[in-house]
Amino acid sequence: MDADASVIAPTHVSELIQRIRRAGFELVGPRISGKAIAWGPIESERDLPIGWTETQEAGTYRLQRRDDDRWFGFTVGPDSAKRFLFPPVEPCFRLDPQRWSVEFPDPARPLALFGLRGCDLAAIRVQDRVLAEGTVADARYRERRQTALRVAVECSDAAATCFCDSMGTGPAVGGDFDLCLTERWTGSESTFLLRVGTARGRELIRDLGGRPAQARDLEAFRREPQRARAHMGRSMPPGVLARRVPPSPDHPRWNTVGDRCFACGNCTSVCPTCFCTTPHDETEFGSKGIERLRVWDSCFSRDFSYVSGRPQWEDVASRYRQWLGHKLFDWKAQFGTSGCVGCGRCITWCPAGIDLTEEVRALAAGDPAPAEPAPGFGGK
Amino acid sequence: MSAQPFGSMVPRPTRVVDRVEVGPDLVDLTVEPEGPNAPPPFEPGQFDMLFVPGVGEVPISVSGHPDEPDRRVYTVRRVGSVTRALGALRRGDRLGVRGPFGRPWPLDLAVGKTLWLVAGGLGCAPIRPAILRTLAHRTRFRDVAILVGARSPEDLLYRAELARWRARSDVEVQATVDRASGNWQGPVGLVTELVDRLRRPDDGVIALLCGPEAMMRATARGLLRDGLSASSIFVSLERNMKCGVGLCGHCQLGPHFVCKDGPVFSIEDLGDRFLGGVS
Repeated sequence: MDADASVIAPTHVSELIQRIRRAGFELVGPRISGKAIAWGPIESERDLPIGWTETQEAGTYRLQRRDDDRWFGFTVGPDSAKRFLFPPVEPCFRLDPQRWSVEFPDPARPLALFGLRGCDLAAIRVQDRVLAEGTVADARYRERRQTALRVAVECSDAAATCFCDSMGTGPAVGGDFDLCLTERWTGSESTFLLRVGTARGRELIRDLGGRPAQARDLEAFRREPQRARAHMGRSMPPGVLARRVPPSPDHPRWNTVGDRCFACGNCTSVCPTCFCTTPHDETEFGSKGIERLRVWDSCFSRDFSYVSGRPQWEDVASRYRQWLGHKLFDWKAQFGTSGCVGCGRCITWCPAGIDLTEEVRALAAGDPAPAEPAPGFGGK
Repeated sequence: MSAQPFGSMVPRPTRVVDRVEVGPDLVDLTVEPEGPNAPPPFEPGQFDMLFVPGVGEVPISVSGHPDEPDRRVYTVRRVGSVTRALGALRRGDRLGVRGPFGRPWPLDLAVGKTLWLVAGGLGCAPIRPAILRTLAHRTRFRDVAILVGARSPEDLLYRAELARWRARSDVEVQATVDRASGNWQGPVGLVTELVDRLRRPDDGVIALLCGPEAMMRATARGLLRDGLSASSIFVSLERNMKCGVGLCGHCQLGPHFVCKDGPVFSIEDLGDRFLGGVS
């Protein structure tokens, strides 16, 4: 028997949703939006994509009905927690340039992120390193992050684009949550394992109902992420996780992939860890007030690296080299972690179907890893 | 939680107190803080983000005297919309300043050693505070050489000052141009050639290089060939700094954020990637 785990029914999950809302959280989670499962406000279980799944491949995403009514029988869509903890457009301050007086926006309501997968939790850990744990922190991110409730869901299925197993970030969820659900389909309805990760999570589920989980329950529910692992469609080549030095800039593969890449920035938008932004000033007509916004940017845009009259990364190949080299290698020297969590979003949402696991495999061929640490690199 | 979540993003108000055209499309702006909210003192080699309300923000090195922190001088070349707006400012106009940002020139490393300050073109601006501090504390260093290159005699920055420095007996000052014109009597050629002709002391040398990347690369390669260590050669890099604190991602160079890990780097920090011209 595990004191911090119980077996609950769908009605208990519905009640949990209402308790989270009554506790004052702004509750967001997966819901059907257009032809994909994106994230938005959740008012009740009726907003969840119950009985839906999706097919993903490089450059492909198709919503589909399931032949059962699993509540969480899908994987990850284009959204992640990033869009809520680190919004695409963030008002920073408003300046009156006449009096040079500055106003800051009010803090937002605490978020409840409902339905975070293993890769999503890993991505939050990465963004914590980047945005909250450096010399200068992004105070707005840190504020949202500290107050946000994290309700995780273990994956029972995997998409063909998933590779969290090879990145060590999923599909089983070990920690970093307030509450965690694992779902089993019993033939007619779902049953859930509910695990508690924090005192706040325990408070929310006090007297919720259900029964304490027995050892055989835990064993049965453990098979769910094992099933997802068995269906995982992709993997990061071995060696990439430990390596800190990017592949040689002279490798011909950069040009091959540069020719395919449209430099559209989809990959950086859907990536749950990409953090590049640009300050953007909006000047109000008449009043002459200036609002500074911080908006998501992408290293694939031509203007991104503009200096002294030209971009540092002029051709698309050099922009792809920056993105992949940063994400998988240089990120480690900067933040002590890989920038990739294995969610596969950049593969699915690439209109050219570029697959970074395939690219890095090709880049590794004929480019033996240098002895580490290479001179001048990899250390701070 | 902080009442000012984006404190590092908020420009402080300053006023333009002096403005001098110093070359083709080049202007020296001197600003002083307005009110008590002054930008903190800067170290030679650091940069500020200059904000023209309604136009935008750009990173500009502080080129003034580091011992006069409340008088910030910026040498601005008019190339884009913000630098053109900066160039159009008049005495009394307001300018927003965020900073200073970045790691400064490591003058402390040069104490007791020979110090070479090598600049090309607009690279004179970020290195000028290092020259001013060196000359103000001249006895701390052994031999000091200031080598400056420009496209033409008209493009040479701070010409009057160069003449004053040259008049001192305790510092070697040389200037060269790519193209002679007018009554130019000095050498014609690259600044790297001036570096090649410097007398190599037996004890340590610290070399600070500032200018176009091709010039810094060529100079650094020459110095390495001559036996200087990669940890004693420093360069200042220019990138598309937007936030100044390593959060926006624009100024990345391999594992480095140029805004906070630089803009001053040793060649040892940058490694072969810089010497090979990979950005």
